[in-house]
Amino acid sequence: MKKEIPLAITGLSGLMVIVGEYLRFAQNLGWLTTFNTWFQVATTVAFPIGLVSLTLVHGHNIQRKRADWGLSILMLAATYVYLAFDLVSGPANGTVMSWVYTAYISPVAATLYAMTSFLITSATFRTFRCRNREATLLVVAALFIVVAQSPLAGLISHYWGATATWIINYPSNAAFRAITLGAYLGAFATAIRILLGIERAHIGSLAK
Amino acid sequence: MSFPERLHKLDFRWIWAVTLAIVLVSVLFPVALPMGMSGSTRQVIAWIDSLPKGSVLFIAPEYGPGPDVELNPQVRAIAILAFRHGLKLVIGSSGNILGPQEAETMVAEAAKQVGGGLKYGVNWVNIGYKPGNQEAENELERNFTAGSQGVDLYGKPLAGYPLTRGIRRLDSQYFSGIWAEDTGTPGCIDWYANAAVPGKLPLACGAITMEIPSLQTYVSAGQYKALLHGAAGAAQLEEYERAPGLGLATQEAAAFAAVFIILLVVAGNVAYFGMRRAGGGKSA
Repeated sequence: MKKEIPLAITGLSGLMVIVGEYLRFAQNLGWLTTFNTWFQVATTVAFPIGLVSLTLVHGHNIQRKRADWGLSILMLAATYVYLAFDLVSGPANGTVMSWVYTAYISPVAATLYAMTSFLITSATFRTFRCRNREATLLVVAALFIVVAQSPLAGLISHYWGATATWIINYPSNAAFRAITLGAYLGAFATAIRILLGIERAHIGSLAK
Repeated sequence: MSFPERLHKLDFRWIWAVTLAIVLVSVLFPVALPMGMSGSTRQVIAWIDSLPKGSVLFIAPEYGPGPDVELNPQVRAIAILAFRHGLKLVIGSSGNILGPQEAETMVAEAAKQVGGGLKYGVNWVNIGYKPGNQEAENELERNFTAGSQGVDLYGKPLAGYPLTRGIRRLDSQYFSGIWAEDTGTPGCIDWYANAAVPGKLPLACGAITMEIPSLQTYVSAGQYKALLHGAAGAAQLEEYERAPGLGLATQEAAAFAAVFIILLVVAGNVAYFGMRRAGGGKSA
């Protein structure tokens, strides 16, 4: 029953949402509103579970003095101090939490995001090779789009932006539609498999 | 070692150093390049102008501290455009915890820029992050009070603000449209499917540059009414509104970086073809 119960819960939950979404009597009874509330509660509960898991993992690192256990202390201290400030003062402007976010978290995250630009420039040098006709077409199209996203396109020629727009609206559009359709068909098939209990990856080691 | 071989083995640190130099010089010695106006930005302006004056626009800032360099200028520019058009704003997200906080700073800045005594609670309200992704969006559309738990970003009751007092649903009766910011999932498509379609609301989208090709399909199909293209779109709006901000400030660096990328592609191919001609074995 260890395997069957989680699979039954999965299938039943999916069935309830389908019934709540598509059947009139269930809509009238407000089933979907109830399920949405349950889902919101479950999503919210996931956060403290994540916090507990994080604390256990880094707590073990500290207890056993594994490599970089000092960083684990720093991580846990930052997490709980920030949590304490948030619980006490909230996110309003002028609070400590707001200051920490504006002065530290936001710039650090932006810095990490900005580092990708360096990797992009070196990757451009390494990978954009006109090895054949298709690769050449890709490189030329990519360069059109890169320049069109900057003020340079308008300075060079009005037609540059128009060409870039054509590339995005027609060939790129066609390719993305095909990819999106395939991805959603795949997602639909996977969802059916999960609801029917054929796909069992979500129950982890119990699937064996 | 031949020139193509030396080029092929170029240390990436030189490339990174030149990239850094370009960005620093652009920031320290700005040139004020004219932005122009693309068709997509014109479409955004036309869409905002088509919304009834005095109506409420819902803004969904589904982004965090990383992409905020591109999307904060967008939110600020859209808020300025909306306020100048006489719209009121309700801000809320369902997938990104920090988005509403980021957007709040930008909308407050926009209100200051527009002037005219715009006040929180009267001209805009921030309901904050509501957990549940698609389910939260669905719930906001069906029952705004239940979906928002009846409180705003600061924990104060929505019934206490003139703007949100009477709002029952995220639909065409109480709102005129949805503006969503997209960095992936959840993003515009989730708000479109779970709120805009059932609520019969038009939806327009702002996104980071990387997302534009994938989102353009929905604009072409007429599902999204307009799409603002990354920091460049925000910069164009800032120039149009005569309210320069971070969007315009980053565009010079983008322009010179684009030139550098073209040079890198040319150099990389010179190295590749040079090595191939010399029969220098496998290229990269």
